[in-house]
Amino acid sequence: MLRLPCPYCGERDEPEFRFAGEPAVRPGSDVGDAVWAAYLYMRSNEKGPHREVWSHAGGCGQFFLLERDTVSHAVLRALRPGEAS
Amino acid sequence: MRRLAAGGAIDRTRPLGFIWEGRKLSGFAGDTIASALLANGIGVIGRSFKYHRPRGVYGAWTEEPNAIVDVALGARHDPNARASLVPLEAGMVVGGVNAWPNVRRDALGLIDLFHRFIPAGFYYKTFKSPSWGAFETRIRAMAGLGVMRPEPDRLLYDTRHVETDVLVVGGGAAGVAAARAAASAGLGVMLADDRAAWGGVLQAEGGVIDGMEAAAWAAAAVGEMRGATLLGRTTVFGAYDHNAFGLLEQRRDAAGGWAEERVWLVRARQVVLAAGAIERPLVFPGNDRPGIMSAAAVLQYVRHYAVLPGREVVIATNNDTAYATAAALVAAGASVTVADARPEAPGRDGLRVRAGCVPVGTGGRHGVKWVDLALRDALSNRERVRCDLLAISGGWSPSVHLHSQAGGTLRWDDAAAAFLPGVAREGWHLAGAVTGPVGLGAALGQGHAAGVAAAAALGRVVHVAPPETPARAVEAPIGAMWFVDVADRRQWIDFQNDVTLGDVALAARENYASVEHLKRYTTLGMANDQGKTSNINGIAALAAMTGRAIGEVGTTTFRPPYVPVSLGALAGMRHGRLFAPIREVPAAADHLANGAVMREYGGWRRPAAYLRIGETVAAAIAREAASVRQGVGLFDGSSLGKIEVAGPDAAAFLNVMFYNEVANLKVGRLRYCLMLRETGVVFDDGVVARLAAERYLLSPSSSHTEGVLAMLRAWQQTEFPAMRVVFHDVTAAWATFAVSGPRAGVLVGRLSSDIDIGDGALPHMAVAEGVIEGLPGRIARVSFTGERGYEISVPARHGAAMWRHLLGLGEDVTLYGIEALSVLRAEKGFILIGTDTDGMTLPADLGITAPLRNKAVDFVGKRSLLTPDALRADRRQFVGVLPEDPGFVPAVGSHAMVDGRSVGWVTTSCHSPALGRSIGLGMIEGGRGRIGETMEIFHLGKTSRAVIGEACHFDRAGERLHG
Amino acid sequence: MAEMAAAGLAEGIAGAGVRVTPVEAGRIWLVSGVEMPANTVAGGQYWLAPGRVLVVGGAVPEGALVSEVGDGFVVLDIGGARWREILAMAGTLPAGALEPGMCAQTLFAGVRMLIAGRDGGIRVFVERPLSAWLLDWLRQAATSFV
Repeated sequence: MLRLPCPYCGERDEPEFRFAGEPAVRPGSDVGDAVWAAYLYMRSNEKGPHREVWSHAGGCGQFFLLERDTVSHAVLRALRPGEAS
Repeated sequence: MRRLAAGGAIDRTRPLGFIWEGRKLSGFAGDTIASALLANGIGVIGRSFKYHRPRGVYGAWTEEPNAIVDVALGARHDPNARASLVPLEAGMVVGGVNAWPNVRRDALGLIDLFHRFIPAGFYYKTFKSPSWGAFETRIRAMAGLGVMRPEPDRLLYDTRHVETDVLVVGGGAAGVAAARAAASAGLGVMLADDRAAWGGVLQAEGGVIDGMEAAAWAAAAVGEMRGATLLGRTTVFGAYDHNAFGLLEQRRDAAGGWAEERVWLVRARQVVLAAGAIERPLVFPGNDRPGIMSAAAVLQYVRHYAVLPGREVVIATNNDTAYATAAALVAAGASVTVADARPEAPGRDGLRVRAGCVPVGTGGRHGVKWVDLALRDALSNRERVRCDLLAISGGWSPSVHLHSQAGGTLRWDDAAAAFLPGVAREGWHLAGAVTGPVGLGAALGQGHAAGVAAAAALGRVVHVAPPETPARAVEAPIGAMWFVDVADRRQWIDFQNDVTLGDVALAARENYASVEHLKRYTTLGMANDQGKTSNINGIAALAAMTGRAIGEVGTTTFRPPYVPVSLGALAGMRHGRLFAPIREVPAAADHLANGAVMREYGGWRRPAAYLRIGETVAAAIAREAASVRQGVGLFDGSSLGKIEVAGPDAAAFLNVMFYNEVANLKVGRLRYCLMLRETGVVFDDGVVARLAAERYLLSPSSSHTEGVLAMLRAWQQTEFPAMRVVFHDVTAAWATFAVSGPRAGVLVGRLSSDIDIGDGALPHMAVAEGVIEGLPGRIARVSFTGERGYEISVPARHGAAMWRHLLGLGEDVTLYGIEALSVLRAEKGFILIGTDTDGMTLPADLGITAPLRNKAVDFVGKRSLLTPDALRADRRQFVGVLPEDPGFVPAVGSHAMVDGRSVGWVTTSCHSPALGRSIGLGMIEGGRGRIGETMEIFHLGKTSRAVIGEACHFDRAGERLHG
Repeated sequence: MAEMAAAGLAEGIAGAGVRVTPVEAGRIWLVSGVEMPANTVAGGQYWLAPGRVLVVGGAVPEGALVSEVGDGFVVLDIGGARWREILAMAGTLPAGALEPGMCAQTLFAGVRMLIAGRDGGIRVFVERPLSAWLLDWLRQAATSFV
């Protein structure tokens, strides 16, 4: 059971959070099918430090960016949307 | 009787009567079922899983693989209890399992004669003709041990979530030393041990610590710890992410009797693992008989429980620890012969010791009667020695399970003949026998050091001196012997699952050379003792069979739980009514009073139908649906979501979030809109109301309110943070009632309100705010039934009162529930998300195409509607399905068939009171092009025929909305 | 008709060392456009999210969007010597996060709610549709286990 840091509420346990996918830049509506499909479905599947979006659904409801090591689960940091990385 | 006259930690002033297989026996408070049975001379306790061989007690604690019994006391029942773990209580009824008529005379014991035909994995090769199915039922019926009772479990379980500074796993010498040190530093310490008393095996092994008797020292040290949470009878069963742990506490309720269970979820800043080690059996032919026991367990039975399991004892060992057992047995009056597999065996006073000597066979069906001994370099030269107890020790395996679960590494150590912990996770400190073979002094030293290290990591200093114990002679190293190299391979490795050396050899021969394959193919380590006494012996045997080093073979992945944990304990309070939260509508009590059958829909308890006396649900549904179209019906829609959206950019934002055009919606008007996912799939449908220039009210479907809100928040926060728009979920604050039917306007007109509900002021799809019966509220003109319809919304506190008020306004009002509403909307061809749509349905599939053509701005999912797959001509499309037989209602999910291939299915199917016949809706490939066609409908081997048509079966022009 | 208000929950719960009492909190509003430090309570205002607060009692607040939601909440005070145990049974929020003046939104017995610290216990704001179930849970928790 992971312990995740909501940037607003502090550290809480995993059941309070919902995974919300990988951060992605939304392509414009004129991109080709392959680019759009990659945006929808392709994931980086990294081993090691990895960025992902979570929401504190069981708490304040805010969305934030989490950097987590996919091997050790070490939480590296959490950023509010728009916060400098 | 085998009870010693004196000694032990049992309470001889409290005798306890219990029943074993119908016989009345007696033990003492402090006994386990196993020790009480041994004291009464009971040898055969159970039958092995596959071969039904007689088995007796082997161990004294969690390592026990054989003594599985059925225990009942009052309402409490465990069909697979390990007798060595259950504290004896007065009145317990204990019986054997996996035997008929009883464990001593099991009819299925004959199976053992055919053991050659049922080795490991026999079910992959035999019982094939005519088919496995012919044998499967009978073979499965014979598998398993205890039998569950069908009555509901009445035990109480609960859960605690806590954080602690230092979690100390294990309350033996090392664990108590660590906890004592950490507590002296002022830290919050949680100490957990699965025994009832502190000190672990100190009671049995003895010793002197800080001048006190060892077990007394442990009790005193624990008693002096300040601010500590002491959890006896608690097993730490799992290590999870970020130093989270699961603990299972066996508790005694105030009224006595069998313990209740509590699961603790603990988050620890520092961890001390002092979990000890488990003794392995020696592996030799015939090593599974009753009366063959772990030497360390025998020591516990003699010293802790004052039970002498035998008087003519042979001890077979490959290490020094068994000699403590020998000394205890001699002191208790037994005659002892030691067969030490090592070429140089220590000489001991009063003991007959044979060096370089191993057991090569045993005899005695209901209890060991003799053992054949031979020299390791002359195995064919056997000497038969009589005995009634054979105590065996094959070495010690550190209990590294939690360390490995948390990602710690292991390394094989040849000198210790064990997998020892390698690199520990950060914040973990290991101490005692879990680190490898240690004496009492080293265990205390390591424990104290672990407490110091844990405290230092938290910036604290320890204020006690390390505990001291007199030095002891260094033990001679173990002489590993993994099995006896003779032709007879009926040498047991896993007692509980009946896995022998021959099975390991079979697996190796068939190339199941990976340790993970060995486990699954032979089921070694998969019984409820989880391989505690068998895993290492199995790995070593596999290594020998495949010519590899033991470290090269490695271990299987360690996974929680360390001991079996009942599902009840994991559920805690979450069962029955408390299984999951459920939402109630404000008028719930009134619905019940009106005969409603309440069902759960999307997390809300809502009326399915209102039954009159003697009515069936189906009859009620038909009556309600018919009455709504004739007069006026009243429906509780309070569970509908209500999300307020406001701000200068609200219109622009909603225009991006919805498929339909929202920005041009006029104030005071409603629009039915779809919300899509980025994949273009229809996520929710609902009504968008514009209450003011910069204020909207969304009505998502009841089960999707949370999801819609999450989607709005996600897009606003991550994609459009500059947009000035806010959302308020006000679902719970409002009660909403739908009034529907030709006389709906009459009923609503009788409300005392400042809202003008004339058709000019409030046409279909309009909304107005105002005062209703003195309450702030809204009246919307909207319909899901196809009849003239209104939705009245008032603050939730007044919901029940408004419901009653509407009922009393002088009209003959029909109450209708969800099921009747579903029929009414089906007659009109209105979709239900998740019923008529699935995870692939696009708006064009539903025939809603205008926004894609006309809407200028980009919106969520738009690009996905232009992919080749979205534009395929043969996509499934939403159509009406009219069965040829008007009295036949096809099952939902029936397939539409073309040339023997399914091209879609029926999504909605019911009897229509308005049409007096069955109607349906479906999603069918190229459906709109098939309108007018008759198709074959198929379900569970039966076929029927139906005509494809428009989805709307009734009042296609929609005139009744204005009637 | 306005006087026919459905009564709130009249009875509380009393178990060994646990007291649950309903609170008449007065009017409650969801207000957007107001900032305050995260997870704090001040002057009847409770932090919910950046720019969003719950206002309990007092005058009608001002903000970018003000929604009266008092009807949507049931407010309960949980106290007694064992209130921290009830919290430990209900979820993973430590009692230290709920000193007076602090608040938190969290999962309590699987129900998402706002919890505020107070002297001798906590005050919880639960959405009305879930209140009946929550009271069942509290009844079981308060009276079953010691």
